[in-house]
Amino acid sequence: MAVSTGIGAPVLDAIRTHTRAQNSSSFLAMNRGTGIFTVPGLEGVIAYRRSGRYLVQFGGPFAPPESYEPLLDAFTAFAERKGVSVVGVQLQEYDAKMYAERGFTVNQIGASYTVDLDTFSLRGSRFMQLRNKISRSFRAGLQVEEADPARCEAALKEIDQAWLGTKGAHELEFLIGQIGGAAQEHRRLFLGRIEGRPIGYISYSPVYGGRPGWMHDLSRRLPDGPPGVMEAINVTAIERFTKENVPWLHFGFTPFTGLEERHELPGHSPGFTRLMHFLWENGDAVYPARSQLAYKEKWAPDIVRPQYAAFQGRASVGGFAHIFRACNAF
Amino acid sequence: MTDSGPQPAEDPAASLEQAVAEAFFGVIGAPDDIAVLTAADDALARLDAALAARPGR
Repeated sequence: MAVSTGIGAPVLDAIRTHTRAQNSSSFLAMNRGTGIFTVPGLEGVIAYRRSGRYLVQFGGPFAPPESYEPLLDAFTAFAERKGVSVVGVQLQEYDAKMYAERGFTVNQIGASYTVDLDTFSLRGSRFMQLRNKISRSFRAGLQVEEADPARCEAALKEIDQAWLGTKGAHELEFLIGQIGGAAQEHRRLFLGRIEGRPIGYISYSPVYGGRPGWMHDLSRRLPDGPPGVMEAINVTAIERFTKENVPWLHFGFTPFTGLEERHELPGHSPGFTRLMHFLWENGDAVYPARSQLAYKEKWAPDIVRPQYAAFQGRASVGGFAHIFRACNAF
Repeated sequence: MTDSGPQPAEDPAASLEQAVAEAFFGVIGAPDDIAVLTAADDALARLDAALAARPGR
């Protein structure tokens, strides 16, 4: 058994190759600071972070079928030796079923959103407000370019400082995209400026598997910028992707959204389901799910897929809270 | 004279649900306090038990 932090070819190989779960956020396994669990002789990796009495696992094992369960077993044994519990987050439907069969309590915690770029268009009354908003930002002088972060560090820093200043002290990690580092060569960045002043950016991470494409990942803007900046940056990126025949644009996971009884698996905790609904109604202080969903729904996603958490034994409020702690949310 | 009819029965799970929500925010306030973590999970277990005991389930 090997535990390491940092990225490397094995992690990239695993998320590119073992895509049965179709986790559109899989590139987050490459984040700096995320632990990688492997076992000699078993193909595949598990990405995780320690938070208090929990190992928060991102997704299921990125592993072939023959090593998926042995790797998970080894990971839970590893947790047991440490006296901690495993809590899985952003498990896909495939993972959720596997974990439920192995005795985990699995509950839906939100959903992920995907746009089919083959059919995407901003035409029609549905997108009128969005078109108007985008037009306003371009009329305000917005120019968008695909950029190399290494060449616009100062611009990114200016945006980050302004953005984080409005968000308080906590910069989210783990389940949030990053910029820079060795993984950057695989990402794409679109930067918006008005009269040369950096105003906002969106980073896109690669998505592998049956719906390959890009994921609208880390995005930040100056709080005092004109409305429509992010929308205009995204539509510029979409135009570029469409020209490249990229089939899918993923918007990733938003907690507390898309909750439906039909997505719950046998053995789920109905009480935990109620907590998720409560946090959808009242959880803005924990995570701005409503505003994030509103942005994603502007693009009329074609596919909405449930995302799950898995708990060893019974569902755990503490374990769920530690997912957010692992993300540095508090 | 008015007949307002029988008052709707209070949902016993509602107070347990509130307790779970409060326990969640309690963990955020004290994420490493074992007593807080245990109490939160126990609150959820009580809510699950109450929901399981409902007629028709």
